Amino acid sequence: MSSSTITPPAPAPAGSPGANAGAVDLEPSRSLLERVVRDAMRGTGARIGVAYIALLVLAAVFAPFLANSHPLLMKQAGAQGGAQTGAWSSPLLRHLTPADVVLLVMFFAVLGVALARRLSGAKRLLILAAVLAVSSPLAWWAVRPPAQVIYDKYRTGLADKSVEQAYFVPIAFSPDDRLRDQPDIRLGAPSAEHLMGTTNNGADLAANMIYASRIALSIGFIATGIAMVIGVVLGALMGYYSGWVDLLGMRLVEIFSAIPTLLLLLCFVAFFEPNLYIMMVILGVTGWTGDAVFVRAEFLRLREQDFVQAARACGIPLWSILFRHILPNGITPVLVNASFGVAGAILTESTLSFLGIGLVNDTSWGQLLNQALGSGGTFYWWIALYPGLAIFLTVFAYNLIGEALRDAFDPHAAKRGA
Amino acid sequence: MENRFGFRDLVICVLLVCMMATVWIAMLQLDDHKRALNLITTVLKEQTGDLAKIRRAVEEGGSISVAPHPASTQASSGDVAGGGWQGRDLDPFARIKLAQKMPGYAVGDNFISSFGVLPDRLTPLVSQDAYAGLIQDYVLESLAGRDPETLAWVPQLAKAWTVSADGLRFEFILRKGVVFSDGEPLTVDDVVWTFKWMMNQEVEAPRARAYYEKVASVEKAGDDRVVFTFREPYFQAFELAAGMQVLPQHFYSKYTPKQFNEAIGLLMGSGAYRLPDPKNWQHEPGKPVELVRNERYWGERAPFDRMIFRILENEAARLTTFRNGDMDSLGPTPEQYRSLLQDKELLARTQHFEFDDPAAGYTYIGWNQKRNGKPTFFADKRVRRAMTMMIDREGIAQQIMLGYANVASSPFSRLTKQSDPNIKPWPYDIAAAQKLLKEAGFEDRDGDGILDSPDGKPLRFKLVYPSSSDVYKRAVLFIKDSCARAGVAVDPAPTEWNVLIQKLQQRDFDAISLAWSGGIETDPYQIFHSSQIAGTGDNAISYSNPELDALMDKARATVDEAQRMPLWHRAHQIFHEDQPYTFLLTRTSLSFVDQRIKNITRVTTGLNPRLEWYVPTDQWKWTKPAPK
Repeated sequence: MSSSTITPPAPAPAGSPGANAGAVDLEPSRSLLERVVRDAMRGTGARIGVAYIALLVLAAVFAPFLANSHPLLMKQAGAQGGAQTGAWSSPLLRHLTPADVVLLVMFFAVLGVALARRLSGAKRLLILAAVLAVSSPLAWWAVRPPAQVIYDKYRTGLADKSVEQAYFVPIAFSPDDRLRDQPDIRLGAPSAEHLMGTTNNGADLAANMIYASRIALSIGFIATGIAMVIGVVLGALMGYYSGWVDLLGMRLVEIFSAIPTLLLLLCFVAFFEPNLYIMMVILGVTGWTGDAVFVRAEFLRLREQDFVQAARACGIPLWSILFRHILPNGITPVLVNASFGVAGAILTESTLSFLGIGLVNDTSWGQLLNQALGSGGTFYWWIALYPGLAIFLTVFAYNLIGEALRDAFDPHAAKRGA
Repeated sequence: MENRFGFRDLVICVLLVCMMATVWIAMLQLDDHKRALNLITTVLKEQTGDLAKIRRAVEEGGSISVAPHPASTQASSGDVAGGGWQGRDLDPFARIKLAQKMPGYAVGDNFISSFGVLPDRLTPLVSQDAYAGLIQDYVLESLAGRDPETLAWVPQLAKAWTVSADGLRFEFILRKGVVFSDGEPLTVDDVVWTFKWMMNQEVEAPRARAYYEKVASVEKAGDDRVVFTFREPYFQAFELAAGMQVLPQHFYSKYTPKQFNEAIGLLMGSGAYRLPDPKNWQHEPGKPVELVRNERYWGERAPFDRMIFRILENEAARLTTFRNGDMDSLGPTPEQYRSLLQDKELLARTQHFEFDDPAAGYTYIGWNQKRNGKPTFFADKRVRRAMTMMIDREGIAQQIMLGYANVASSPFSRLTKQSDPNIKPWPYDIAAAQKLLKEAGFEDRDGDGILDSPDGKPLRFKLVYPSSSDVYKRAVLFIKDSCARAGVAVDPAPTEWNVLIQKLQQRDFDAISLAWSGGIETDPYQIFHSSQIAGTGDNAISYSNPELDALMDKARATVDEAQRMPLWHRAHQIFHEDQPYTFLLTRTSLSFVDQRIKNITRVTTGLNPRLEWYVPTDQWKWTKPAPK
C-alpha cells in the first residue's frame, strides 16, 4: 500500500488549517491547540512571560549590536599613512561571527514567515528549514572574522589619536574583553561606564549578561527539543501499538526516569571536557520520559477514534497516521510540559556553571553568579544580583507560560474561567 | 471499597519509620562501641607490655627503656669515640629545649589548621599527595634530619654516622631506647626491612624506587649499626640514606604488598605524633585528619595534645573559618592576604608572615615537543623562547598574584646557590617574540590575525591546566590575552586533576600549565633528562638536549659542592637558552597564625617546625588546663 495511489477523501493533513471541505473531523482538534494558546495568552501572567522571553530573544539575537568593543563606525586618522587613511570602516560588522549572522538571518526569516498569513504551518517550517540549511553553510563559508582580536586597540587608538572618530554601540565592551589596558577596573561596582559593574576577570558584566542569554535560550530550547522529539516518537509508538511495545516502552521510561540527571552531568563534565552540546544532549536524552507518558496517554485515547480508523482504512502510511493525524490532537500536554522543561534545563545549566564545572569559553549566568563570592571572602553584590535576577526571571517567565497553557488546556479550569 | 489513607495508617507509618530509625541508630552505636572497645583493648595490651618492661627493669635495677626516655639524646657512650663519627655531639632537640626555656612554655592544647583536599591515603610510600607527606613527617622519623636554620644534618634515630672517603658507604649508629608508638623497640632490622620493602617490586612506590635504586644495599653491621652502600657517587646520597623514613617491621610485615598498596590509613612510626588508630584511618567527608601526641615518644614531648587538619576545599570557607577563630592557621591566597591585612581587628589577634621560601618550587608552562610521534611547533627553541617573551610574567605576578610572586628563570630557586645569579629572565617583549617567530618561519599568511607555520598550520594550541583553581584560571586567561597580541591563539582547557595526570602520562597535550615543588638543592634529572621521556617518566614534554643530559649526569655524580655548583650554573644557562618550559613564577609564601601560638620564627626553610611552637596555659582554647 503506498500513499500516492490513494487520495484520502476526507481527512486532509491536519497541518493545514485552511484545508477545505472534509476537514471537519480535524477542525475542532486543530483548533484545540489554537484555542489553548489563545486562551493562555489572554492572562496577564502569560503575556508578561512571553514579553520577557521575546525581550530575551531580541537581546540574544542582537547581542553584537548591544554590547561590543568594536566600534560600529570608525574613522582612522590620516596622518598615520597608508592607503586606508581617513576611510570609514565598521570593525563591528567585520568581526561578526557566522553564528551571529545565522542568528540574524533566522530571526528575520521567522519574523517574515510569521507575518505571511497565507502560508500553512508545514510550509512555514519548510521555509525556515530551507533558510537555515542555506544560510548556515553560506555563513560559515563567507563570514570569516579575524580569529585573533585585541580589544583595547580602539581605546588606545582613540587615546593616541590614530583613530580619529569612533561610534560605539550602547555597551562598548565585548564579553571577553577583559580590559587588559585597565587592570584596576577588575571587580568594579556599577558605574556610569560599566552599568552593571565588572567581573572577576575584568570584563563588563552587562555585556556578559547579554551574551549569556544566548546560552540560556539555546540550552533551554534545544534540550527540550531533543526531549520532545524522543518523547513524542516513543510515546506515539507506545500508545498506538500498546501491547508488548507499550510494556517495553514503559519499562524504558521507568529506567530513564531513574537516572539522576544532575549527577550524570556532573560525572560527565568531570571526565570529559565541558561541552554545551553534550550537555544539551544529555538533558534531552534523560528528559523525554514525561513527554512520552503524556503522548502515550493521548494516543491510547485517540487510536480507536473514527478519524484514525478512517485513515488506517485508507491505507495511509504509519508515520502519516501517527504524526499528521493523531499527534496534532495530542500535542497540547507536551507543549505545557515543554515550557516547564525549558525552565528546568536553564536551571540545570546554571547549577552546573555555578558549581564551576559548566562552560569555559562561553559566559553563562550561573558562571557569573559563581564569581559573586570572591576568594578574598568579599561579596560582590552586583555579580550576585544581576545574573541571579536574570535566572530567576527567565525561569519564572517560562513557568508563567507553562501555567497559563496548563490552565487553558484543563477543561475544569476553563469552565471555572468561563 | 474505600481505600483511603487514614489517620490510623499514618500512625502506623510513623511508628514503622521510628522503629527502623531506632534499629539503625542502635546498629551505629554498636559499631561505635566495637571500635572504641578495640581501641581500648589495643591500648591496654600495649600498657601491659610497658608495665611488664617496667617491672623487669625495676627487678633488674637497670634503666627503664619505656618512653619518654630520660637521657639518650646525647651520644656520649664510648662506641663513637673513634675518629670520623659525625653528628655525635649534636642534640636533635636543642631547638625545642630553647623553646622550653621561654616564658609561659606549656605542653597542651590543640593546633588546628586546614588542608585544601582530603588526602587520598596516608599509608607511606604508596601515598601520592603532599598533604599525606605532611602527616607522615609528624608520624615517621628518619635516621637524621636537617636543622631548619643552618640546614646542617642533625642526628635523629641515629646518633652518629661515618661517610667513606669515596662517598659510597654510610654507616649509622642507631640510638638505643627508641620505641615505636605501640611500645615496640626500633632496631636495625626495621631500617633494613624498610629498604627491602620499598624496593619490593610489588609495592607501588615507583617514585621512591627511582631514587633508591642508587642504593646497592642496606645491611646490618652489628646490634646498633646499619650500613648504606651506593652503586655510584650521587650528590644527594646522604640525603637518601639519612632521610629514609623508618617503618616498623612488626607492624607492616603482617600485610602482603597487595594489602599494603590498597590500605588507606596504615601509618605508624616512632615520631612525636601518632594516629589515634594506626590501622583503620578512613577518610570520612567532613571529618578532620587528627594526630595525637605520642606519649611513648623517646624524645622531648610534643607541645600540642592534638594536631587537627580540617578539610576545607573552598578557599572562601577556609578564610571564614579562620576569621571566626575556628582555626589556628591559614595559608591565604594573595587576594585573601591583602584583604586580611586591611582587617584591624583580625590583625590584633593574629600574626602574619610573608617570606620567599627557597624550596617553594615554581609554576610553569610545559611545551610538548613531540605528539603522536611527530614534532610540534614547540620543537623549535626559537618558538619556545618567543612564547616565553610574549607572556607578560611580571604582569601575572603583579595583577593576579598581587606582587606576591617573582618571575622564575629556571627550575633552580634564585635564592639558592644552584642558580646562576647572572641570568635574568627573558623580558616581556612582543616585538622580539614576533621577530623570533618570523625567523622560525611563522607569518600570518591568510590574514586572520593568527601566525601560520610554513606549511600553513595556524599557531593555535590548547593550554591544559587544572580546573580546580581560580588563580590558575585567571592566569591562563591573562596568558591568552598576552599571546593574542603576538598573533598566537591559546585555547584554555581546564581539566580535572585525574584526567590531567592521565594526559600528562600519555603525552596527550600541546601545552600544560602546572607547578613543581622545589628544594634547597633540586635534582632536575627527573624532569629534564632525556632518559625520563620513556614510559610515564616526568619528562612529559619529550625534551632532549645531549649537552644538558651529560651535564646533569656529571653534576649528580659530583659530590663536592664547590665543583658541582658551576655545573648547575651551566645547566641554568641551558635552561635559559632552550626554554623547555616557560618558567612562570615562584610564589611568596603567605601565612596567618593565631596570636596565642608562640615562638614562631622565620628560618631558612620558611617557618620553624611546629614542634617548637607552643601555647601558654592561660591562652588555651580547645582544652582546659588541669586544675591544680
